[in-house]
Amino acid sequence: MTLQSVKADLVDIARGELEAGRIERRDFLKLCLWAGVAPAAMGFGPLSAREAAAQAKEIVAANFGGDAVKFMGEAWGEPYTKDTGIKVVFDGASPLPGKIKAMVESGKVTWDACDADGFVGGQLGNHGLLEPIDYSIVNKSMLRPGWDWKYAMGSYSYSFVLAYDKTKFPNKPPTYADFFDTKKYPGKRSLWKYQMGAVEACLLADGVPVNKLYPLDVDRAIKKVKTLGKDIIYWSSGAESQQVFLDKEVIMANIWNTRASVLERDTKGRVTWTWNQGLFCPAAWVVPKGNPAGKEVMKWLASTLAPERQIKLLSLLGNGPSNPKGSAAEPKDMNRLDPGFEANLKQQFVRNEDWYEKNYDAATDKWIDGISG
Amino acid sequence: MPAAILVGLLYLLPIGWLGLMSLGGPTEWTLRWYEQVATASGIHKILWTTARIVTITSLVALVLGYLVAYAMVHMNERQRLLITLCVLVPFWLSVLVRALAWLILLRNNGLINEALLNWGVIDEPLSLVRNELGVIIGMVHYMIPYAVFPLYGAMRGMDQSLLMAARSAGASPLRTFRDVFLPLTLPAVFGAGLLVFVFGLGFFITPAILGGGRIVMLSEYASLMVLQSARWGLAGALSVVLLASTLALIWMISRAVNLRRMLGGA
Amino acid sequence: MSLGARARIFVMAAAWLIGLFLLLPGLITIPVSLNDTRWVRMPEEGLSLRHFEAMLYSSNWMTSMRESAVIALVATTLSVIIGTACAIGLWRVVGRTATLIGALVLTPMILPPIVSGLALYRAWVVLGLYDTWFGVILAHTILATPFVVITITTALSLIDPRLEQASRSLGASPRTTTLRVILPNIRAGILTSAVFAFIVSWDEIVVTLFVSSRAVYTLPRRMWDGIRESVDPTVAAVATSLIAATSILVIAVIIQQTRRGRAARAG
Repeated sequence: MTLQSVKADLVDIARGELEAGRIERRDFLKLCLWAGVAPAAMGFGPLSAREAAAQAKEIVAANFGGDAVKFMGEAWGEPYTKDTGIKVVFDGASPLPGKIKAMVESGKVTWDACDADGFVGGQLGNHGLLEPIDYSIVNKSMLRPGWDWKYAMGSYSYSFVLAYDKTKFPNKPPTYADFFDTKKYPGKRSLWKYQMGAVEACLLADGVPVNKLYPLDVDRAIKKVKTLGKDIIYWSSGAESQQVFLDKEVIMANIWNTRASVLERDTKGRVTWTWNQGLFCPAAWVVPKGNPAGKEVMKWLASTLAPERQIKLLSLLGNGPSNPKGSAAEPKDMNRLDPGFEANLKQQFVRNEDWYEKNYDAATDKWIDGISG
Repeated sequence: MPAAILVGLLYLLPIGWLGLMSLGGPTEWTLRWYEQVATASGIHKILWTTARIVTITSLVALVLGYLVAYAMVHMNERQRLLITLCVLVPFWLSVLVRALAWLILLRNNGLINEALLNWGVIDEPLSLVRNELGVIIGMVHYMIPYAVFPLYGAMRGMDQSLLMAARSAGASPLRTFRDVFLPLTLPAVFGAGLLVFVFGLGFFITPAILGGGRIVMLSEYASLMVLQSARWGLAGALSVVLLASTLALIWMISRAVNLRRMLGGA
Repeated sequence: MSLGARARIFVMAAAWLIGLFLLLPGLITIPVSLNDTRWVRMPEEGLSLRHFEAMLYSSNWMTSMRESAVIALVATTLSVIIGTACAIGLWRVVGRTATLIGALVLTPMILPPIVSGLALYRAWVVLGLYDTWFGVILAHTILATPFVVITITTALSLIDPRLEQASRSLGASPRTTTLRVILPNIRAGILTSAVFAFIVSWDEIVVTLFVSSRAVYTLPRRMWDGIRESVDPTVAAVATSLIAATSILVIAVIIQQTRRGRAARAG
């Protein structure tokens, strides 16, 4: 053992003592100075001593925060830690593609896996920003067909569904054609601001057959949505999509199924949704290039595909299993919540990842330009 | 000279800043992004919307802030404290809480509309939010305190003897105000206006929520470019354009107001 | 100062109306913070203290408030010192250099926050300041300083420049002049700029999201956490608490003033 590593060990021990309250902070700092180990640049942040090595024993997964942190931790984090002893931490920092790019290019990658859409794998991966998924560790057969992308692994499924206020549609659920019929059904509606789901809904309402949806004609969708005039509110966060229903500001909206099921619970059934004409989407884990835990993350990714863990997530968060066996094995009362369940899936159409990979950014730009002002 | 040292100290921060900007700024040494800014009509729309809304809200906030500051000077201590409380309260509401509170108030089925409908003042709910009006209301509300404080400071520090001289010379209160008070407070108006205008340029949470998603301002667009499409070059070019035009605007106005007189100094 | 009677009524009425307008969202926040749902909305069936409980008993919210307070206080102090020094310097040294520096100082305020965030993130990683207290404080200071500079510059514009001349001609050094003559005269401006700087830091979210990760978790970050899913009504409880604290303070001052006034009159 070198003197340096002895010093590092001492600092680690001392840190434990500090956290246990058995030594004073200033004594600890003195020790650090002696050991030549500086608490990161005048900050009180993580020490450098053994931290770097310690981080290999930890997996950091980034998602969009809130309940997802707690529930993914329960469904996918704790079981893995129990199996292997490696800590799994969920960071709710919203790993949007731009952030991932910033992180990789800065050279200091702190995330091992990021919650993203399937097509993000292609978007970022083709620019050298992601690690390829190691399918010798991850079992392809546990994924839905096509969800084993080069740079992304299917994590869960979600859908854009038509949620509506049952009091306005007591007999049967509305369709997207009704969405645009403000004479027969007066009231406001809501669509997602960032193009996805909204454009498909507009096109379907305009009479485009499902099999001719892609490539999406964004101009046509914009024209269609403008016919709603002031009766359209665009939601940009899941919270907003729920709030507009809770506040009775809208009578129907195109929102995520996870939010719809929460809404149903919160409004005691006043608001519900239909799987008909739903847009089925794959979410996926992507691994930023140079991730701190290295290959270890692949093992963790593989573990998340276990049917019972996927079903656990469905029960907690409402995200559908990416493992078809999960959808098959789930308890019957959860079937109506799972977008990937056979009967639900039949009514929906699937998002075209290829088109999104190549066109999402430009389409969103055009869409936002078209709907604003 | 301490002044030079002080000023020199300050050099570091902004220079470091520009250095940072070039890190994230237009890469690839291409003018492609600037070209896009110059030609894309979508971007023009966003620039125009931003300029229009920020200018309107700044002016409204200035006028209202001036009124409040003027009143404050004429109040007794107790009233002044109360009004100060009114001006301070909004500060504690984070931007999120404010926007949500305005939604509760201004929605079609919100508190204000319900009250007006109940009292029979109107038959149909007023469309107060999820549109540009809502954005203006929200932004003005945010800006007024930032206008009031500098203006009040200016008015309070005013030399009373000048005003008394004007009155004793026979000028009416209105004239005294127009010809003596107003010009003297003009530098402060400029300062407050600048503060409020530049502050307003950075708004995007308030307009996004109160505009129903349809009022897209520059900051939000830049955010989309950085976070989602990773088109940093475009975001950088937009920022530089924004920076250049804002500074140019400030320079032009300062020439009109005669900056030297405003800044006083040796 | 005299005011025509009619003008006086108009001005006063307008001012109080505007004051009410300013208070409105704050007043709404109070019942919202007492609501009985998981959402940010008016109470549905009754009032409940659950959000205040959530705020006080969860270490998360209290920790974040403390972190934000500490960061804001330090950032405010730094930016007021730097900003005042800069403003005074610019006030004295009028010329091309001054204009240039003035422009540079305003830059962080003009740029969209997201761009500042990205730039600072890249720089902080290089400097090793990412996700450290000092890094966040420094970032906030950079963002708050322009506010201070503008406010102090406005305050300086009202000082009679002859004050400085007089002081210098009486033999005082520039430093003494600054400390003993200029500063006391812009005391109100300094206080105002401190309030602005504090709020800038307290509310700062976009840049903070970039320069901090897990080690520093300010209050705005906690508010925005999980915003994709829901808005935690605890934020309303936080806001109400702060409003209550400020109001109590101001009312206490008013009472004290009234008492003093009465004593003065009686005595």
